[in-house]
Amino acid sequence: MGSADGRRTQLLRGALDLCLLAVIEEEPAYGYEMTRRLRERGLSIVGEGSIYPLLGRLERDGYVETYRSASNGGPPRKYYRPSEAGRRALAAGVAEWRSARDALDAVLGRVAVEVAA
Amino acid sequence: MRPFVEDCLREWKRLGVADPAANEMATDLEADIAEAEADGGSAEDVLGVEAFDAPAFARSWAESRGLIPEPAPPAAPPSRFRRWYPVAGIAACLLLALFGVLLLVAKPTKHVTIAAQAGFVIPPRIQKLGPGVPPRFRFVKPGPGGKFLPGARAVIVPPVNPGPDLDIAGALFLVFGLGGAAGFAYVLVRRGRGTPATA
Repeated sequence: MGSADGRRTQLLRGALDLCLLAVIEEEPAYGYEMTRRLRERGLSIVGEGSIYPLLGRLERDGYVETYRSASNGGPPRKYYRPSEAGRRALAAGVAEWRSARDALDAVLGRVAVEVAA
Repeated sequence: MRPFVEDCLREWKRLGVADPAANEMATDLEADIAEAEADGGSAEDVLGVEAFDAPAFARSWAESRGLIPEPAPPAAPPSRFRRWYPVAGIAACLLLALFGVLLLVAKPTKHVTIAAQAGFVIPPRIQKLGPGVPPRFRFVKPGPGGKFLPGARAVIVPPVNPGPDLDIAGALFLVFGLGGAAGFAYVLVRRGRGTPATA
């Protein structure tokens, strides 16, 4: 049986693209800003690798659009926002995620968990 | 520029990434790391474990953006046909060779015509005893209703047209059968060593 860290990595790997689309759907962001927003919500990607290759894939597949804009006092940054295809993919992905989560909850939710202090 | 970003830039150039794209990625990366450090963090906060392997990170990012060709996916396992066709080929070729050997060794006796002379009512059946010049024969028994009288003579008439030379045909089957079997065995051995066969 895999370790808790390994399982978390696997779960995150399958949903990280949705998370990225979700945070830039709220407001366009550049690379590090996305990392920071995810971390603020308890989703630290440190140890999982960076978001850049995933962003590159989303860009290549047409799920995000980019533009350059000045950041707060810094150099111009490359901002990402979801394209129309990206919004559709986000909606479909979230529906799939919720369906999978509900099915897992129906099974795992019955398990009484005692966490050692 | 930070050493990590310089290493990435070097790797992108080595991989043939166009300068505008490489410079853009380097600029973004430099700015993100600088901002993370200003927040009290480090490059690891931006890059995770990839902060320790600049070439791998650079390659991964460039591949994902489609700036360089992605590595080919692992080859699919060979189909059942691809797995077994050398073995089937060897078996078929050995059968061919065996057929050639049979042609060489067990040649059918050439038909011999005998002309009836005095004493034969119906030409008797004869059997060839073996090779030699002249060939030797013996009478097996007279044909149905035949009658062999002492002192009668049989004149052997050589076959007019013996047909294709079975020796040559047998030798050809043997050579091509063994050659084919050796070829398929070569394919089988190379595949076993993991080297893709070009045949």
